[in-house]
Order: sequence, then structure tokens, then C-alpha cells
Amino acid sequence: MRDMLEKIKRRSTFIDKVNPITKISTGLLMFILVVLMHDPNQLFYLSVLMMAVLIILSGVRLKYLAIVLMLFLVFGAFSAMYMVLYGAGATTLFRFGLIHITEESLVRGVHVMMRGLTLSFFGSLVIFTTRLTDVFYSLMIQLGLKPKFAYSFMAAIRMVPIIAGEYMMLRQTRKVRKPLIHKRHVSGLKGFITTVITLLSQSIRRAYRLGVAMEAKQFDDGPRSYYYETRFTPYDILFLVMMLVIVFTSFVTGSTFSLIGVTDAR
Amino acid sequence: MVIEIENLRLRFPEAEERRFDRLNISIRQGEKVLLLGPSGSGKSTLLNLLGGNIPRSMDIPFKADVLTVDPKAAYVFQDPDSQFTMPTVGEELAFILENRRIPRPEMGGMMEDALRAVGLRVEFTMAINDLSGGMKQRLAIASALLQGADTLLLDEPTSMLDEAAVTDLWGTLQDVWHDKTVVIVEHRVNEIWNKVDRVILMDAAGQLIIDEAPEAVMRDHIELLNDYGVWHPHSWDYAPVFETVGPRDEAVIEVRDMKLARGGRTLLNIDALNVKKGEWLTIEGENGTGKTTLMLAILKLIKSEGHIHVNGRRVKKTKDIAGTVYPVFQNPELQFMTNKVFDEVFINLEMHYPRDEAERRCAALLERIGLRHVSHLHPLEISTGQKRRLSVVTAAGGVPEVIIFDEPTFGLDQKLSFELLKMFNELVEEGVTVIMITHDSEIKKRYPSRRLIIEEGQLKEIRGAGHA
Repeated sequence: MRDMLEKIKRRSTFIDKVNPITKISTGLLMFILVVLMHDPNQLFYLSVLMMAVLIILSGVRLKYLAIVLMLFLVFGAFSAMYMVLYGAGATTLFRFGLIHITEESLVRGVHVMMRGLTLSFFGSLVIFTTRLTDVFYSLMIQLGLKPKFAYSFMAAIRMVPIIAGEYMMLRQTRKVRKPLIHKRHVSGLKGFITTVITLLSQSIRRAYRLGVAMEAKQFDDGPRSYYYETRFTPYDILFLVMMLVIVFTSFVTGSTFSLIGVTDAR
Repeated sequence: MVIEIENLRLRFPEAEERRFDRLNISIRQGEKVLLLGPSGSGKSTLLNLLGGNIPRSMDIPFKADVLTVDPKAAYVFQDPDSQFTMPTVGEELAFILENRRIPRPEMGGMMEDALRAVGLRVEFTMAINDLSGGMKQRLAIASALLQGADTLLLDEPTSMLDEAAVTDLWGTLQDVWHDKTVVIVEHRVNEIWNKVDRVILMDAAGQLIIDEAPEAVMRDHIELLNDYGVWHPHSWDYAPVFETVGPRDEAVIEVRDMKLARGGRTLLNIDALNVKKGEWLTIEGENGTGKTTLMLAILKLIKSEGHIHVNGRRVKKTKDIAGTVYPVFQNPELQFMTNKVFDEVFINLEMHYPRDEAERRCAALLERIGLRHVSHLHPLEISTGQKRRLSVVTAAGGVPEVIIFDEPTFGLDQKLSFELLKMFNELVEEGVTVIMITHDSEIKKRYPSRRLIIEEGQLKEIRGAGHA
């Protein structure tokens, strides 16, 4: 996980040092906030500011950021389309067969899109600045998650690429055998079941061995010391203040400099 | 005595007979012991008992009059991928220290010392998945050192390594093991035979047959070792010798101007490769040079530039040569797709014969490869050697014209390896072409009619090495 992140990072920023718990809880609050925001003007400024934060503070190479942003915008536009093209409303802007664009549906569609974008931007910011191992360490240290669960998860994550590689090999072996046998053995439900059984049995065996190895390394669920001593630091406060300023700014500018003549998208 | 077991009786819950019946074993502080035995003789089970994995993690009922073991013993297991918990080298080493509640400020230095002791020069942030097999096993030894254990239990630590890595690994172990008690279960014994204090041989019933110094075992008990089919330093003197069957003149596989790339980097260029009918070919080369990739490319399982002709016909898809050129992968488990050993072969034959005839031929084929008695079992239940033999006949409809084996003798005992070699020879005599990817220098020296090696991105022929 970690090297993956390092490959796409250009520099590290203070957000890397913010405790994962702070980031994740802020994310939850952001979700609630965005769902309750109904003024498209305010939401517009919020999404723009979040995009700026993502670009400036994620520390990710611009090339990768550009791809991510493009994807978000395309998906956002698509999700908005459903609302825009078929939504109900009183003021018709355009009509062609089934397609019926009204002013209300347009605003609502764009509003939904901006909600999605704001959360996507924040989510990517968290993902780009947080190592998965840190999440588990702070869950253990700050929130008292049992080491048993935390380390099992981390071990499981390590298994994912191994299982993926195994699946690729399984597909190759099937390709070799397929022309030699009746297709009922390979295709459909039966083929699916044998694939799953093979992969599962390999994984179960590996997990069992790993469990034995972990206990042989004297792992238990009791007290332990920590390699990553995650804690709350002034950076967490800085992060919270930054988010508050962003939200506050978007509220104020949204009410002062309205771009759209609608203040409630409902 | 660090380890003292008297009158041990152990039975696996589903088994009819006891795995160990009145077993006695004692090992002194600092002693190095090599534990031998045929497949399924309970070596790993015993090792799990010596370090307390039974009953700590494995629920297997047993009784013993005296049971002094070392529950803090450190293990190095056979499969590098199932002994690490964390994604990076540093985190994995720290995992051990965390378990020991070593304060954070002391960790870094201890971890560096451990890596230095095993000669592993990598950053703490290196991903374990990117390490080679040999490096992973050295990391496992570093972990064992950090555990601060007095006893080291090694369960076939080299079975997934190539020869150079094996030598390195034993060298590393010798550097760190002097004050420790070490019990080794291992197939590839040449490198360590004279470095241990005692050699113990267990039979299939879990009894100790031999328990003597290595020199004495070599002097008095070679016959016994051969009978039980375990490797010993002179194993190859007893290896099967075949009359050389020269390859026939017809070409089976022709490769022209092949270019293999991995991750945007050219891995291998082959201007021309001709494989003849009835050849026994080895493909050699260090880890990561592209041996397995070449196999996949010939089978058209991965993309490559160039032309491949089999029996004069251009190969465009895997389907074109299915059943003619057949691979046996390193991991035979992935090649099976039914719930019974019998069905594994039967589904091929049912395409060619009426049901009765197919069943008869299937039984005959299983008989021939010595799997008749396990034909009712699930393919994943049988032993490694059996799996490998089974995966060979999953090609059957008859027998394919070319079989490519990826490391066929990895992790097999002497008996199974020799049996497999005999089977290869039979195939060659029948005019089948056998291509083996192998690291085993004895096999390379003795059996192939032609040796190819991948060096510096080129496929070269080794000439003049001759036969033994």
C-alpha cells in the first residue's frame, strides 16, 4: 500500500501528518453537512475550494491528479444528466421527445453533481495522504481497537495481490485445459464454483498457516508497543481549522456572490 | 535438555491410526539436528510440537509422559508468502518487537542489527511482496533473531529457492545459529549434512529409525536412507540412469524473432529456437530472467512479438496448440477443476471415448502414474508429488507431444523425484518432447539431451557439458 502511494506522491504536506481518525471523522461530518446543504451557490464554492485543497495539499503528482479530476468530472456529469434530462419542473428550457429539461431539474442536477464532487475531492484527499497501516495503528492506539482485528486486517490486505496473481494463473491454466474438455466443466455456474473453491481453499490454507506463524511470533491480543506511535498533534487542529474556514468561506461567498438565482435546490 | 519428549502419542482427529505412537526424542541445548523422513512421516507435526504450535494454534489431541518443549521457539517456514503479517520489511520486523513490548526508540537499532546479521540490505520501507524468495527467507531469519528465541525450528526453509539462494541461506544461518538449538526439516541436505550434530530419520509410522552423527549415518545407513526415499549427500549416485535416446529429426516447435517484454523493458530476445521431437530440453537461468515468461509466451498465454510454429502450423492462440503443447505449472493446485482425482482425467477422456471405454482408460492411466489408490480423493487433498503427477495427465486425451514443466522437482523427496525422472524418460522414449525449467544442477548435468540458458536477455545453448 505504502509504496503504491509513494510512487504517485510528489511531496509530502502537513495533511500527511494529521491523524487518520481526525480525517475520517471530518469526512463523516462533511458528508452530513453536504447532504444538508441546499443552496447551490454555497455548495459551488465549497466544491471549488475542496478541489483547490486537493490539488495543493494532497502532494500527488499533477499527472495523476489530472486523471483523477477528469474521472470525477465525467462521472459527476453523467450522474447529473439523469436528473437534468428527465427531472420534473415548471420552467421548461428545452424539450425533445422524452427529454425535458427544466430550470428546476437543471439546478437540481448540478447540485447533486457538486455534492458528489465535494465528497469525492475530500475522500481522495484522505486517501492520498493516509497510509492504511496508519489507520489501523491509530484505531488501535486512539480508539482501542483490539490488535487481533487490526493485524488480521493488515495481513489480509497483504494477501490481496497474492490472491490476484493466483487468479491470473488460474485463468491461464483454464485456457490451456478448456479446449480439451467439455465446456460444461468450465463455463457457467460449475466453472465459477470450481474457480471459487480453488481460490478459497488456497487462501484458507495460507491464512491458517499465517495464523500459526503469527502466534509462533508470540503475537497475542494483550498490551504491546507500537512501531507507529500515532497521536493527535497540532496538525490535527490546523486541519480542523482549515476545514472550518473553508466551510465558513463558502457559506459567506455563496450568500454574497450568487451565481445562480436559486437558493434552494429542493 | 532443552527438548525432552517421552512416550508421545498423537492422533489427528479424523485419522484411524496414531501419527506418533510412543515417540521419544531429546535434544540438548545448542545442538543442531537434521530431521529426515519420507513425505507424510510427521516431520512438520513434530516440529510444530517442539515449538508449541501444537496445542497453541493447532488443536490436535496428544499425550506424553514428559513434554519439555520451547514455546518461545522461532520458526522459519517453507512458504515465504504465508509467514509475514505486514506489508513492508520494517513493519514486519517491528511486529515481532511490538509483540515483545520493546519500546519504540529501541526498535530501529535492533531491526538494523537483525538485517545486517542476515546480510539483507534493503530499506525498511521496501514492500515484502517485491523481495525475491531468498530475500524473504532471510527476512524470516531476521525475524527469528529479533524474537530472541533460543530455539530455531526450520521447516523446509529452502524448498522454494534456487541453488545460489540455498547456499546463501545456509551460510547466513550458520553465521547466526552458534548458541542456538536448531532443528531442521529439509529435503535439500547437501549443504548442511556436515554442519549438523545429529541426523534423525523417521519412518512413515512416525518412529525414529536412525539417530546418529551425520558421518555415521553416511557410513552405515545409506541403504536405509534410499529405502525411505529421502535425500542424502550421495543420492545422485543412486539416481536412475537412462540410455540416451537421441531426438528425432522432425521439428515440433519453431520460434522465430521472439521478443518478450515485461513492464516496458525487453526481457528476452530469441532469433531462432527449434525444438525437435523426442528432445529432453532444460531451460536454465537465474531467477527473474524470464524462464516462466518464455513458457507462457510459447503457449500464447501472454503477448509476445514473433512467430511460433508447432508441427509446421502457425500458432496464433492458445487454442491452436491445446493438447499438443502442454504446461505443468509450478503450482499444480491451480490446474485442477473437478472434485475427484478420477474426474480430473476422466473429463479429458470422455471427449474421445464412449463412457465405459473412457472409464477403463482413465483407471489404467491413473494406475500407470501410481494414483489409482487416491482416485476417489479431492485433487487438493493428495500430496505435492501426487499433484504434480496428476497435473501431467490432465493433458491426457492421449499424451501431448510436448510437455513443459516449470520446476517439477521442487520440494519433492528423493523417491518422488526419481520416479518423476523415470516418467520423463518414458515420455521421451515414446517420442514426447520434454522441456524442463529447472535449477537443479544434478538434473541439468545428467538428463537433458540439450541445455538452454537465458543470459543477458538472450537464449543460449550450453555445449560440451555432456552427460554423467
